[in-house]
Amino acid sequence: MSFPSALQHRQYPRWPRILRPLLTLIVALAIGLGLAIGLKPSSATPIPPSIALIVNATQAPAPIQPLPQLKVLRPPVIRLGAQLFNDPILSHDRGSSCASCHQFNQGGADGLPQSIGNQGVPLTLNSPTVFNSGLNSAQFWDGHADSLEAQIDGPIHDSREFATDWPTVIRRLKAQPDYAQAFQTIYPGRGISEATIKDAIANFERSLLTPSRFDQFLQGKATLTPTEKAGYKAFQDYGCVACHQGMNVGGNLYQRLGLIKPYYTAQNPAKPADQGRMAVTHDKLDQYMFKVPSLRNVTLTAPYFHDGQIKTLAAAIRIMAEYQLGRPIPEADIDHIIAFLKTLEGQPQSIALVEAQ
Amino acid sequence: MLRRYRWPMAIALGLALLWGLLWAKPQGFHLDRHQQLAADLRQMEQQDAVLGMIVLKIKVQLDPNYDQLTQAVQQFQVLQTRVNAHLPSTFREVGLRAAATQTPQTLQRTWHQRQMALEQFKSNVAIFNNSHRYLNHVIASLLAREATIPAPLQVALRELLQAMLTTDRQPQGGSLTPIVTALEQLAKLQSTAPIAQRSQIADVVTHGQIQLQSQMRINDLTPQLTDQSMGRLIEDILQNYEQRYSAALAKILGLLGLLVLCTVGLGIYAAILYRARVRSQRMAQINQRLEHEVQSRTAELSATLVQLQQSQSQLIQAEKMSSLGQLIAGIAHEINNPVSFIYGNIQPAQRYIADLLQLIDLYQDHVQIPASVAAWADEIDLPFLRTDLPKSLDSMLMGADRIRQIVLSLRNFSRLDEAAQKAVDLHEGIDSTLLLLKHRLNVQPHRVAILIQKDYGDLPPVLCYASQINQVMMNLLVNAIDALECEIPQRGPQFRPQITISTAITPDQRVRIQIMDNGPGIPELVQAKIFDPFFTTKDIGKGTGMGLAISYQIIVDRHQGQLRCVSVAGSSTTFEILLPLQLDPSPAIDSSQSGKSVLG
Repeated sequence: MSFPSALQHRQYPRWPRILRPLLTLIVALAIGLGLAIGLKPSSATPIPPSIALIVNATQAPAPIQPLPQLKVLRPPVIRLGAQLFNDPILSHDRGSSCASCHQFNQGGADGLPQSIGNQGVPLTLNSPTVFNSGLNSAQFWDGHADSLEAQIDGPIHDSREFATDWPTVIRRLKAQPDYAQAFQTIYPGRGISEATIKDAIANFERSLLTPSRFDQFLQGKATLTPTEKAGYKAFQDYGCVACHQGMNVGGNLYQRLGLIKPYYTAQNPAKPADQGRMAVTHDKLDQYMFKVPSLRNVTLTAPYFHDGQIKTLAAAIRIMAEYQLGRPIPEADIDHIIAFLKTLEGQPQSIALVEAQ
Repeated sequence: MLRRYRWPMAIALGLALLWGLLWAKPQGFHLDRHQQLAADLRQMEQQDAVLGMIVLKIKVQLDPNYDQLTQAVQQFQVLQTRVNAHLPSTFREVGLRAAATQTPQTLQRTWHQRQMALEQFKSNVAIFNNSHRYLNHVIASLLAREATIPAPLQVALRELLQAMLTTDRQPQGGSLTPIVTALEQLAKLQSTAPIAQRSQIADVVTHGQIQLQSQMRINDLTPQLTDQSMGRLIEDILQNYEQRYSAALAKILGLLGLLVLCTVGLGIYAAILYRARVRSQRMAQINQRLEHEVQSRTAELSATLVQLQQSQSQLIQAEKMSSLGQLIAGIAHEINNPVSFIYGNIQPAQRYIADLLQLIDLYQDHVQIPASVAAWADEIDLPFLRTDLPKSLDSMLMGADRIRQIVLSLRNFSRLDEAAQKAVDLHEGIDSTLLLLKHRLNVQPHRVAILIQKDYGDLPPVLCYASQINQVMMNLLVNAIDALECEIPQRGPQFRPQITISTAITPDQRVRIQIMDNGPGIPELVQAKIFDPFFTTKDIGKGTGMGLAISYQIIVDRHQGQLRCVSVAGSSTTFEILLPLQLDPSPAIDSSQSGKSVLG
């Protein structure tokens, strides 16, 4: 190294200056990274399932199957759903809750031909039971909701029922610290929203399976009396089982009321509410088509049919025989069938869970 | 300066931006969603096949309930909902913009139609099952009582039963003509039935018709429910999508490759910058060291130069002093002897003259004076001569005494005989110097006398080079006199020029000599330079600029003392000499050694 060049040292860059490009680099990297992270939207993960249903298939491919086994994966969801189900906070006037029309001591329905709405005006259709409703292929008599979650929109918005909307419901729930905290704990990162409210209520409803003596009989764990057995046989022989089949003894298909013989005639004219599934599909073929109701707890949920106009089960069976099956059923067989249907009574399983909290 | 770093900065910025872009771009590509969508679509395709299979099982009455079908439909619904929710954004990611809006609609529409068909299928199967079971039952019970039924009716019933058996449980649903024919036959023969069985036959006809209708409907529905058209639709969507997905994935992988390259590039660039930084730092360190070395070298060199100059002036001074000393010593010696003759002989001469005058008096009293003698005595004014002659002699004695004093001072000043240090009375040296300068202190034609105020303390003999100390005194006093001489005309008649010389022993056992004049003072700028060699404020030819430098050298270097100047502008200047009582000879040797090393 020669002396003169060493003496000109001040022309060489000193280190804070050389750091300038490095700093620029680091800042640019930070901006780039921040941009990259900021741009990445959080992917919406589905709400995890709260219950699982394990199907108990009988060995023979029988038309009626025992109820599936209920496995509660997230009990807090069920408890929250039960609380919401019973809370009139969901209705506009805080006068009614889900439980108003789906009373547990009334077989999951309300025992009225048509439920009374918030203005004291009866609704047009009979309240179906909430029990085992998770097994239905669709909700409502005309099946216009394909899930329990979708079903909730009906009463929430119906002006004769809760007459409210989701923003109001969410605002009301958020105003209650216990709800706010429960939702935040159960649905971390989501809190109170339409989706979580629906999830809680629907899963609570799904947990309302009512195992009966007949289920035990199907699994070989109980016996039926001769009358009940005769009723079961008659039920199959007369063809009831063609529609009332499966785990829920119905609830999974539509059928026309008045299949063999017209139900609605000049003497018994159809009201707008009697149009059935045509209201949904606008297909003439679907006129008077109603969801075949489940017969579980049917002995507890009089009156009958979509309009609740038939007061006794015997009368309902007679009408079914005449209009749906196209042949009369003797009174003795009707009694037997009723005895058989009584074996389908059961209590909701998850009540113990909800009451145990 | 910025111009110099324009390119490195631009490159760094460019690379970093490229990196950010390359990083951000694949972030918009959600691999998990693509995988989920592809899996969902595949599962939908499978589920469509499953649905078809269940439909067939139900049709051939292998499955006596709709639980499986319901579950399969619900599963399909879940998949369908999920696919519809995620398909648009996922399709758009791979550039299928048109398909992103159309496909969900197509799927939705097809699935809706499929669901409707399924519901109709379920209803009709239920109707068929009910009538079929009842027909079997009622025909069997009628045929059990064949005696009461006419033979053609029996045949017709058997044919219907036969036709039902052949068309029953056929997956692809064979021709229904036999049933149609049998039913027509039965309807014709209905009236031939006995009254007891007529209603039963009517039931058979009714249920037969219902069964036929439902069976026809089922046969119509079965192909579209089992043709897996949903599956094919999904397969088409999947194929189209997977091609685009592969292309998009390849592009993303390419981008990731570029990202890796860019990262490596950035790394290398950072390393280069870092190395440059380290190098420049090292360079700066080297430069600093070099500069330091150069500075110290320069300082050494200038110190050497100063020492050389000092040595030179010392040598010159020594030479000058040596020759001057010799001259003075020679003159002093030469004058000393004749003066001694004069001084030594004047007192005897006074006595002789007194004796001679006594003799003249005696002659005048006792011997008659001849007129010629009296006339000569008048001529020479004898009485005046008798009084004046002793006065002349006294005057001569005084002058000789003064010459002696001057010679003594010269010898004291030069002290050539005293090269080694010696304990001397400093006051004596100061007095000798003052004596030498007496002519300059006295009243002069153009100015008043300069007053000397002595304020001597009690000093022991001080070991020193006496001639050198005298020289310092001389220099300082001459400077003071010069300064006062300049000041006198400036200040007017009121000014009393004065030099105060004070000596004392300091508490730390050193001799302090202060020479203070009430002259003009020395300006601060000049104060810093007064001890520099060849620095002078005097006129050219008057001062050499060496006086104070030599003085400083003598006091500080030779005697390990201190020489300070304190000046108050306009009122006084004080030079202070501090000398150790005992001179330590070793530092002098040291200084000579260090001087040698520097010179070497």
